[in-house]
Amino acid sequence: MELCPSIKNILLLDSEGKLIAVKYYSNDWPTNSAKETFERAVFTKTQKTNARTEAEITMFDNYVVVYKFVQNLHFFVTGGENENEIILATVLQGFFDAVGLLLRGNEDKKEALENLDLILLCLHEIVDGGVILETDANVIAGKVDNHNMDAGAPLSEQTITQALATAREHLTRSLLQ
Amino acid sequence: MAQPLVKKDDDRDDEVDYSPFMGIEKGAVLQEARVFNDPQLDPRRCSQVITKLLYLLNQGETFTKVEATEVFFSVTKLFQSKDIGLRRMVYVMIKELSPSADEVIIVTSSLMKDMTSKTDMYRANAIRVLCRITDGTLLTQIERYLKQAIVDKNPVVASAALVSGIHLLQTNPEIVKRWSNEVQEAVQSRAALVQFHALALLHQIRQNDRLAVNKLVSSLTKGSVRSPLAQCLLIRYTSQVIRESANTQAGDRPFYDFLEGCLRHKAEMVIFEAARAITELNGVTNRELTPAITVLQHFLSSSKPVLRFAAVRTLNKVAMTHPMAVTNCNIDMESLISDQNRSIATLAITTLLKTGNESSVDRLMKQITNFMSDIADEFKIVVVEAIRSLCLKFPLKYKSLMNFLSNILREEGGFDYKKAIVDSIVILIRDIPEAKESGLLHLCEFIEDCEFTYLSAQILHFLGIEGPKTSDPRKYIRYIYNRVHLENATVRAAAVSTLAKFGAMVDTLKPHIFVLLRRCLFDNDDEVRDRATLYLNTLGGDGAVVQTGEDVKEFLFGSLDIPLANLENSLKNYEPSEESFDINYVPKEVKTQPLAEKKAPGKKPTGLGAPPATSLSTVDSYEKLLSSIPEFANFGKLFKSSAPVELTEAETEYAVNVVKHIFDCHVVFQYNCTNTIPEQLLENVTVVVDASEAEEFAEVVSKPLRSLPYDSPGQTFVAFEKPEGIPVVGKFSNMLRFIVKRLIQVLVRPRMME
Repeated sequence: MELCPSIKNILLLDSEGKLIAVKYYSNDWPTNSAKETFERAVFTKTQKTNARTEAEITMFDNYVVVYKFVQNLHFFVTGGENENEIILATVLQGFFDAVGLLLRGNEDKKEALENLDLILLCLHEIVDGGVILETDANVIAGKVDNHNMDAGAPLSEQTITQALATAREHLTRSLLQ
Repeated sequence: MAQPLVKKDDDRDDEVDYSPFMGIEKGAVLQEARVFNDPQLDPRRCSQVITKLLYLLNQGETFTKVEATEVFFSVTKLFQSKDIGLRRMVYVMIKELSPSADEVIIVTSSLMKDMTSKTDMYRANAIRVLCRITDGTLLTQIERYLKQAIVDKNPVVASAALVSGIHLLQTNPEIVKRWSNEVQEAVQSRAALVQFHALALLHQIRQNDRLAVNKLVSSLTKGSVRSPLAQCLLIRYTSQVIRESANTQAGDRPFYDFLEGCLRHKAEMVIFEAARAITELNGVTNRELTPAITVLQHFLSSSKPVLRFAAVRTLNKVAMTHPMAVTNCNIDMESLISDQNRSIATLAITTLLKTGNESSVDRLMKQITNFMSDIADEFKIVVVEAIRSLCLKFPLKYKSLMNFLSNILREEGGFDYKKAIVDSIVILIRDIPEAKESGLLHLCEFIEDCEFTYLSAQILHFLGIEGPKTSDPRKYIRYIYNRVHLENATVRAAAVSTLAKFGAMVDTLKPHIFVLLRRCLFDNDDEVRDRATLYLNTLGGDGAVVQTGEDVKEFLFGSLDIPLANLENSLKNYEPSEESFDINYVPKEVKTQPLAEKKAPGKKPTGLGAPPATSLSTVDSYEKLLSSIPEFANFGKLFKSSAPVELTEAETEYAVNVVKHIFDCHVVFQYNCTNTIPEQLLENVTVVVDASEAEEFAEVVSKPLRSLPYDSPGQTFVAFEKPEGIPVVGKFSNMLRFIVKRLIQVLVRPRMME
């Protein structure tokens, strides 16, 4: 079992370290308080870094953690200390991009919470019991959202109307801020 | 104009705190879940309630057994709806709730129906959920469908079955092993991820059969593997095969070409996996390493922190055993010292410290000094330990390294960091005679201003050992005596003891010491006064320059051989009488304690190796065991025993773990062996140790284990001689050798009555 790449947990936290959606795949954190301690530790350790352009990476407590931030969402993927870091980063990127697609570019906490079901389904499609199921964001988002879309219109190809609507929404938001 | 201000605050608060789950409460949501029982199900509403329940679970809310059961039962009613979105949420919910065996029955038939549904998504998910909650009997019922699913046209379904198989292999291996043929077929799948999952499962099924794994690896390394993940798996299996194959000296290593070829793969994860695998090959040569290191060097200048980190971490490990191979990367490493990612920067520095040569030490020290102020304590400790190794490697450079250490000792830092520095200085003083005087002085200066009682006491103790041996011990006295005035009671007491040690070891100092000790008789603290009194009365000569007897020195400063617990017990049991308490009557052995967690007796069905005899759990019982073996009798006193280290993986036929016993000039490896095969009796069990990578050790004796029956652990020992007093490192490969006797049950039929 040790030779198969294995994911220990995937976390989605907000910009204050509070959890939005998390999934643990290993027994390393058996109690709720163990999980909370880990989440707090990993958030504090990475808080001051800039992980917005490229995925960042750190190690502590014999775990490797890759992470990426966008707006007030913090994404983390954890593996054992001997795991291939690039595999972890690929899983992270898959999750990150899939959530981006599902939230239609409005990647912030409010949107995430309002679409929590999509995010949980997303996690369900990426890793099963620690084994990687899928890393391609388009495929992941497609599996999650295919019952919301009309048949044959994948998320990544929006119609002109939809694209304009999204753009208008973005503009309005930025004006309001 | 207060109003607009208030409005703005409101808006901001709204955005920050707004949550669709604001004010959510478990009881209310459980009430809402009643809608699951409605005859006319509203899919959207039900989905929303499930989301809320999942949110609660995610946030750490716990459901009581009753609540969980109730929720589970109502969720099962949702199978009546044909809404796809809702069905998906139901799958996720069932997985989260982890129903117990009797609850599972309710949902089994619905899931089995889904497992044969025309909708691929239903089949895939039903398989995953069923396999998660199933037990052995249910599994045999659905086995047929799982085998079909493995070779299903739809890759999502196939992957679902294969991944479920990987999990089920842990609990029902006999069943999953029957799917070999289907899994083998799936390995040939054109769908990339199906191949990946099939390969992972097939390898695990076959992993105890070395020949089969060999065959698998041979055929796939020649064929085409479609996904980077599968390729990474193949690289790992190949490494395993290389590790376990015989070491043929002639010609190239088998499969090396395959690994080297992977260095040119498109996907970065494959390139890295191959490079890392090459660096971890047993006894890898510089020639074999070169292409891997070239690739890693390239990663060092990548714009992606993940690549830089992975590369520098691997090179750091290589530098431990092959520093020369990594020197080409020094320039790239030096530019990483200023990397934004402090983990990368620290790894770069510690690698440079390993690969640097004597002439670059000064330059490195300068760069590191600037760097230290930027990083957190935990990184600083890593650097300090690397500097310690560097100094031991280049003892002539001790001056600049010692200066560096004393400088950082003066700066701000936490306890662990300061302790690491002090430990380093202590080691340098011990191992580099020329560094002793300056090192001791640095430590003296440090305790003048040290906020950590533990460190002050430790340093004073150390001063007491090393100070008297120097050419002019007198110069340390002032520092020590100042502690008696200025510090807390613990430090003062330590200082008093140190003064006494100087007095005991250096006769010419006795008059001076006696004067100082007499002043300590007026201290506020009784421990301090008691110690001063003791020393004044035992050092002898009342201030004259006389020698202190060896027995007095041993009494005052020798170590206590007796376990404190025994001493305490004896003292408690002593009843005041004519006879005074005699410490020689205190027993020196410790009664072996039974382990807190007692393993249940009886056989484990999966045949997992039982842990070795739990009675051997304390140092003193090790001592007893070792001293009862005549071959080890003259090794002297046992210094330390390690904790048991597993040498075999779980679920192997013969489980072995090793305890390392360290003596002054010897090391004894105690191999605890367990035989988990009921039909076998092992005899003449020994461990053949390959110490070719441990040149400073010489094997002296091997003590075989006569007989190792089923489930009754035994020990075999191998002892090595080692040089005394200096730290040595060695790598030992171990091979278990034994004679196997198969036990055949002979049935005796009772005589039939004529």
